[in-house]
Amino acid sequence: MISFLNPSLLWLLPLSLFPVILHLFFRKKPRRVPFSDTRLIQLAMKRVLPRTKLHQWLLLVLRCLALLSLLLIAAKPVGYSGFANGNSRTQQVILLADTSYSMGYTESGITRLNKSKQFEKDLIGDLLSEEGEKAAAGFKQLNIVEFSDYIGRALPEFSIDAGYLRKFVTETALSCRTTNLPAGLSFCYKSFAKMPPGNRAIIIVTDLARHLFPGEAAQFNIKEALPEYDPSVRLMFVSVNNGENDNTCIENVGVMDNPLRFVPEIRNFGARRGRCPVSIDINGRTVANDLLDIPGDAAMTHEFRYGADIRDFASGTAFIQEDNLGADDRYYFAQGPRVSRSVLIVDGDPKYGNTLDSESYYVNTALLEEKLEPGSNRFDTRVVTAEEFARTGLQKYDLVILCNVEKLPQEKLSELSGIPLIVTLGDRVVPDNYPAFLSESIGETEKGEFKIGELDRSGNFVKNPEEFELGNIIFNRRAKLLGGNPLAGFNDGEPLLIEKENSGNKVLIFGSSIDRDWTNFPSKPFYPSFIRSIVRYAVERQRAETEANYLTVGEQIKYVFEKGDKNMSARLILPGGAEENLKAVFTGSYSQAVYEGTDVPGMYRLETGGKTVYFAVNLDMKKSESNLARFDAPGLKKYFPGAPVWIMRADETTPKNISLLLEGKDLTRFFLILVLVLLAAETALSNIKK
Amino acid sequence: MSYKYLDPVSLSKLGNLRLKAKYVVEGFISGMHQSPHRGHSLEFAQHREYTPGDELRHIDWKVYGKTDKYFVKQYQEETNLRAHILLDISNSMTYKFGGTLDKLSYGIHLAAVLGYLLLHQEDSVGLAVFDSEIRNFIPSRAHLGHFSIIADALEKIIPGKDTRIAPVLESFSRRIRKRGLIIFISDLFDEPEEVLKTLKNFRYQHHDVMVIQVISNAEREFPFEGPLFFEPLEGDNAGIYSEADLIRDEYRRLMEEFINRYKVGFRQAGIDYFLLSTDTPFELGIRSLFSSRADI
Repeated sequence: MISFLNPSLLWLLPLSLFPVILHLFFRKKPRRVPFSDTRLIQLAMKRVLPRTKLHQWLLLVLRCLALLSLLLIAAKPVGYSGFANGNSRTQQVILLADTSYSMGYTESGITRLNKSKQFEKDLIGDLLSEEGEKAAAGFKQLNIVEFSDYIGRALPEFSIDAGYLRKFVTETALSCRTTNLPAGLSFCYKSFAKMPPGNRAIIIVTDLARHLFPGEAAQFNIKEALPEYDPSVRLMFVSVNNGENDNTCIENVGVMDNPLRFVPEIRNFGARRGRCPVSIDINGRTVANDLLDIPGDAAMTHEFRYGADIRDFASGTAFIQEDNLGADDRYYFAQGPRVSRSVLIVDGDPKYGNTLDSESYYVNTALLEEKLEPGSNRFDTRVVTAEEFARTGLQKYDLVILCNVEKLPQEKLSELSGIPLIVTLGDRVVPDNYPAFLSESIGETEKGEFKIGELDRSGNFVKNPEEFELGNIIFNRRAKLLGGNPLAGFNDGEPLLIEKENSGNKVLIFGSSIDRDWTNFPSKPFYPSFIRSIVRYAVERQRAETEANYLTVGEQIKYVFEKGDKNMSARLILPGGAEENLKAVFTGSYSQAVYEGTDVPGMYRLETGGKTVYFAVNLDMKKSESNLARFDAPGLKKYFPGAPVWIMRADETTPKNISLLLEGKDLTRFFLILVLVLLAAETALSNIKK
Repeated sequence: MSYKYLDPVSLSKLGNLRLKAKYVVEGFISGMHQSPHRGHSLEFAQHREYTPGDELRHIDWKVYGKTDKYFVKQYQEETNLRAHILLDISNSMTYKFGGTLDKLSYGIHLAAVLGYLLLHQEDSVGLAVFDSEIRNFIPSRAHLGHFSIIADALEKIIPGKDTRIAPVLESFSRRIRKRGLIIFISDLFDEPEEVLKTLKNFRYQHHDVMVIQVISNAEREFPFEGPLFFEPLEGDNAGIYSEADLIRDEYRRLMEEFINRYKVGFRQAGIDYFLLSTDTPFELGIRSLFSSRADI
């Protein structure tokens, strides 16, 4: 039995008689020629005619059949032998529903997700009759799986209950995640592997956007991406995408200091130029807005200057006018927690009576520049002499800086466990009085005129060095630094600053004096920034990864408790207002609280011990989910070698067509081969000499 | 000056029939080697005394040697061949294809050339033109002036009706009494058995018969293509529609059978048979005739 997915085209079947009509009514009128005696012609005709007539009728029949086959191909034939694949009666179908945030795009008043849900309900109705006759016979079994970049909800097992399945679909909600189709397919193939053999199909209901697959088909290795891939499973992509691609989003917001500026980056994915209102909220109050003119398929940035000090800024939101996809029209940003660091500066040559010449004067001043109000310092510093250092307990300090200190006693070394150390040099330093791991790195001193060369090899602690006049910084004396990891260097390639490790602690060695004995560096504008940078690098890098406050949906929120914090718990207020209590967990070196449920973008506010920390959670804009350009359908098939793949649009006839395809066999290829055979026979017969 | 023969179409534009025939014959003769057979029968009959005016080449020198007197040889048949040219002027002979001469024109020229040649050789020549019956009959005469009568008759030919060869030949056989050479020029598009039978009868009457079948190349090769409606020049039928490409091979086969039937039949009857197409130059045609017959 054959059925057709485009039965309306069957009305054109009479066109297959076109060759007969041509033959009967539009034959070329013969030319009249005189001939002496036609008796031989008559005799020849008599002998040849029977063969000729048969030949001509055969040609006619072949041409009609070829036309007929072409028309049938256009009508999309599906054949039934009872069961499409092998001898199994069972149809196992998984509905893979895309819930990524691009499915929130609204077209003609309905989101793509809602359109998808309506389609799925119609399909369930078509596949499983309400009476459940066939379903009761175990003929068809359905499962539904929600997917984005992870697997959302899925039924625990295959079901034949149409009502239950429809209810599941009704409860499907949009996620704020991006798309990862291979992950969804992998789950489906694994589910099938647990089932008894049967005719299997995965129906993927999606917006069929280009971000469905990263990269090109040629670079996609199906075996690596989907080890469970089974080419016998039929894949049916149902698109709920009408082709609209107009979407504007905020991809990022840069925050810059001195002066405080906010720079949102806005991208227009649509083809048309558009005017886009942009606003900035700081601490819950709108402080700036503007109207941007963005060309089609382009991005642009706009700088908003904010007159206040950076310390007045805790959190903010940039937003544009909501368009058809509202999820990406807001971007949250926050400032990191302001904490004080205790720094112990050991002055090896205090120069009593003339503090300006002391070893520690400049470094202390550089660290204290951020001190303007008590209790809000970034660095709490204390300066001691070398003698006082021996008597000073180190537990409460976050960092120790040795400035031209003659020796580092062994007993102090053990106290330094867990505390980063910065060693600067001078003529008081005796390397042999330092522990071996330090002395081996401090070589001979040399005189000369040395300048800074490569400033920041690690890329971690110096921003915008081109703003400073580095060429004017001269070192008249330096020590050769050996080993370690060079972080900065002189212009002749010798290291200026190296990093070493001592039992898990960071140790930085500066290859010159930190005062003006050996260099004019302290008098240059770059000095304070440099000092603060290396101090932060030494102290805060270990904590930087655990205190990131810019996250994407799905990432963990981690808060690291301070040393000495008495309150080891925190209260997390979620964007919707709900609250979560977080308990500290000791990691071995520090205590932290972790929250896993960042499912929606927004500002998450953590409060602990009188402190408030903001975590800005945004959509993952790097995955191009906001680019709604449609996938090239023929290109999609190349990703699944050997598997029957269909690509359809979700409309009223699609559930019926899917039903037909599931139960029947697509006969298009058969008729195509038939057409080729008929045409070959017609060509051969035309050329046969009678 | 070497003689270059003209193709039949070019020759047909030369002038009147006398001129054309003369042209062909002289060209033919100039191209031939000395023929020992020149217009006289070779059979010696008797001597007679030499009289001034006799050709010196007929003097029997052996007799002179014996008798010291001049005697010339006299031959048995001093008046040579009696030839009758029968020319088919039925409608089918008016067929032509492409730029060639139609068969009738070719036949007329051929008859004229043969007539002139024979008269030039002091043979007697007569002419009969026929379609379904004899339309014109000129008895055979031997003098060269007789050619004008024959040429006039040939020039005034109007194509006739359908062919009926057998009755025409029977009628003709009643008009000639003495034995002679019958030169039959036709396309022979009639029942082969009847034609063969009637011509054989002439052999039984001790006539010499030469049949020259004139056809167009198109009638033999059938170079037509596509669907065509063939209108016959003779006969009652309205015509026939045919896909020329489809029947070409079969037609050619039938045509060869038709020709072979005559070839074999005439050979068996001792009748000389020649097949000429209308694009064959007359000189070549005559050469082929002469190459097989010694007494022309």
